[in-house]
Amino acid sequence: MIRTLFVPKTYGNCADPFLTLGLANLVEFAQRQTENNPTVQLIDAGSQYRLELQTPLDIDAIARIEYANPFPPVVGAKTEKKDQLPAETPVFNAVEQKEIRKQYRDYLYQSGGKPEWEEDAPKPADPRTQNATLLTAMRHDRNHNRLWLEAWKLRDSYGLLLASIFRAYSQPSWEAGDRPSDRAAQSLKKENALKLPNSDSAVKVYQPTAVEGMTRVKTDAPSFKSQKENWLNLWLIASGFFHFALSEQVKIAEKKYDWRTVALCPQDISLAAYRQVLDRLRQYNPPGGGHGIARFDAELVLKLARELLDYHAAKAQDTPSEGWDIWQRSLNRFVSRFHGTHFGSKGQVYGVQAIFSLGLPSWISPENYNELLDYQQILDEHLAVIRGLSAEAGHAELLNAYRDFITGNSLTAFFPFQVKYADYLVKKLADPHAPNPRQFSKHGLDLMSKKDVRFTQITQDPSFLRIAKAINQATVHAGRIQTRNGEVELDWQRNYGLAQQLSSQSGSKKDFVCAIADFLAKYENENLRISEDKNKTLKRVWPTKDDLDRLIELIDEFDTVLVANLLVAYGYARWHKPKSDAASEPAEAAEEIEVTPEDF
Amino acid sequence: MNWITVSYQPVSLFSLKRSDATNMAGRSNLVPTPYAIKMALLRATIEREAANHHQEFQKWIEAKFRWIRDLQIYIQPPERLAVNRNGYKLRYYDQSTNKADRKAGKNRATVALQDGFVFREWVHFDGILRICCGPGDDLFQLEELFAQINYFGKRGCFFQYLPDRTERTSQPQFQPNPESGFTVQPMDDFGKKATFDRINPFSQTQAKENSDRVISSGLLPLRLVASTARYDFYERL
Repeated sequence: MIRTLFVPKTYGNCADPFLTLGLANLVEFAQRQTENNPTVQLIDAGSQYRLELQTPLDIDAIARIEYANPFPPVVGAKTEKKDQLPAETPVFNAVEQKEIRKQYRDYLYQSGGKPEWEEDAPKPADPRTQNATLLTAMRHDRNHNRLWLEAWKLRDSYGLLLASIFRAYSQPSWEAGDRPSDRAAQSLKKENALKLPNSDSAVKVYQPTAVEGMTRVKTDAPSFKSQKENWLNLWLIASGFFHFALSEQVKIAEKKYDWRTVALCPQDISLAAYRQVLDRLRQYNPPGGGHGIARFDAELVLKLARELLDYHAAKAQDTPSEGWDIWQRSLNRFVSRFHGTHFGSKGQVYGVQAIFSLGLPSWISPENYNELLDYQQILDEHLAVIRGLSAEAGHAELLNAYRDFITGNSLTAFFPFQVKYADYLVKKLADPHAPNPRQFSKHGLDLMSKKDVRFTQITQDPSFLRIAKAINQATVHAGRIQTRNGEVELDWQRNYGLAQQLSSQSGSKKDFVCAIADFLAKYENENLRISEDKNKTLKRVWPTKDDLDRLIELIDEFDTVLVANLLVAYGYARWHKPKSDAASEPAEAAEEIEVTPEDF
Repeated sequence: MNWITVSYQPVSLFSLKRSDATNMAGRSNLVPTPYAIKMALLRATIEREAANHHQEFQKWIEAKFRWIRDLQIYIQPPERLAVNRNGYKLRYYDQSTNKADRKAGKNRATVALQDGFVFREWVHFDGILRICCGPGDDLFQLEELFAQINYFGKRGCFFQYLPDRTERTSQPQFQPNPESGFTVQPMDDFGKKATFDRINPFSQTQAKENSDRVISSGLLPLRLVASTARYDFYERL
């Protein structure tokens, strides 16, 4: 009775999750065909993936299953040997799907990213379109089709093939000592006198570390050659890649595009949920590749997190909140990270330029439905900030810093970005011709840091908040500002370079205290000057010496760098103000982002 | 006491291209493999003793090789390690052009080269790398050889041997545990029937994969803590 399948991680790259997903797809198909519950739970058990089935596999019934395509052959404009594919086989036409995708993206651009329900509105393309396009762009459609064709030739024994595969993967590899694919091949040969197809080329989309290149047992005869891998592994990887990869062209220079493809690694999630989240991301909300690699990565992680929260929000509406499995679990407990490959353009061909992985934010762990909605808002806020930046406009450094934060699982990586962004923010605010930049909200920062006691002890301290607000009113909310009632000139000038100064002095407690005391002294002098004018009311916070003393206590208690970083983050955030003061608040509605076709 | 555990302090970054990776996409192993460690032992043996055995070198080295080949090696990674990803642009040997030239009977004055980029990873170790080796009766000789090793993997990946931390035990340490091993690394090792002649890069005898050099999956007690486009950060369990 097989209830669990074990997939050892042998490649250490995206091939591992693709192989697992290819196998899970087969299991789901077999369960449906044998009228069993098709639920498959994908679990990362460290050195292997585990597929937990709700109902055991009926191997005898599976052995009688008739052939159905595990994945379709792909046909592009230049696909060779089309005539080798059987005439009756439905193919995935990459050219047609690409055109549908283009029309839908144009429609999204025209409708400002908010499509309305209309009968004649373009429909989104198949979520796997970009994977098929990548296969044709790499000229790997023939490898894909060859793998498909070999399975099609075994169609009369397809059930036996599946039964052997499932039996082979039902044994943990450390107990068996050999690879499951070898066990499947041996059992097919021994019990059914069937021979699996020969090894095939391990092309770069399937096994990026084994691309054509130099490898040798010893350094005596170096030679370039295509690496080989057994057919069954490649077939499963090809199936996983076609159905579950997320591929996109990414702009790296003017008229120069590379391909970036990623596999989302399951941690503990059902195949149905995994597919739903990924399909929605690829079909309706894919990350844009038109503004550089770092922005693509950042958008990818943010949008995936948003889709995961949306999925859970939809479920939470119908489910009692108590005892449900999302609460108290961070997002990376469902899916752990992305494994990816960057294919660099070398003219007519693409080469493997980088193999990478991107983490998911562990700080997103809602405890109830309202918090889940709050996190959705924070993600929208971060997306809005990131969509205001692009590599071609010279924001590559900012985007890289943000990507390091959002893909790195650690909240402390946010602050190096925030210091750089603070400078950018003030520069944009000071430019009368530039659109108002997006800001992170104080509420968002509170929510981001609330799970870390060290952070909350600082950020909830009244003295810290008063000084942070003073920084805000000396930098963001200063000089000439845009309000809902138009442009307003405030009574105090904008302080430039404060974020950089505080950050650079934070290496030494003494220097930092000097810098903050210097700022507070100037700020107080300015307040005194404004107060002299009896016709004016001072609408600024006024920190006292006690606040400074308390800040020094906080520095003693915690790290100077941490306090300085939090001061900059809160100082340059958007603070909510009482409604009576709304007239002098910089108008949030006035925040603008330039939207380009590359955003869709 | 027939197992020895030695310790090394990493001095520079470490890189050792995985055996199953090609030069174009050379992911690094996280720690030296038994094959790399045994090759380092072999090198130390030859440098130290070969001059005394030049008369009957072949006989002497085959015996030494068998001794090193049959050792079992277990590795404990440092407490923390970070893998940095890098891409290099370089010019490398253009095999197809050279082949075509040879077929066409063209004689080039220089070897044909082509532009390209390669991917490499460099690993920063925070902590001590420990290697357990055995079983063997001649632990003293083994210790002396380990003391002479100053790099593993790519040339220039230096390690400092720590003599005070050497231990001798009756049981091997750091044996992999499939239940707690969280990171898989292909661990290549000498095959049971490998000979010095086949492993020696200066000999014309070919070495065969899965026979002279065996690659199996090794489990390391490491947990991936953080991962971004530019680095992976692991902690030891």
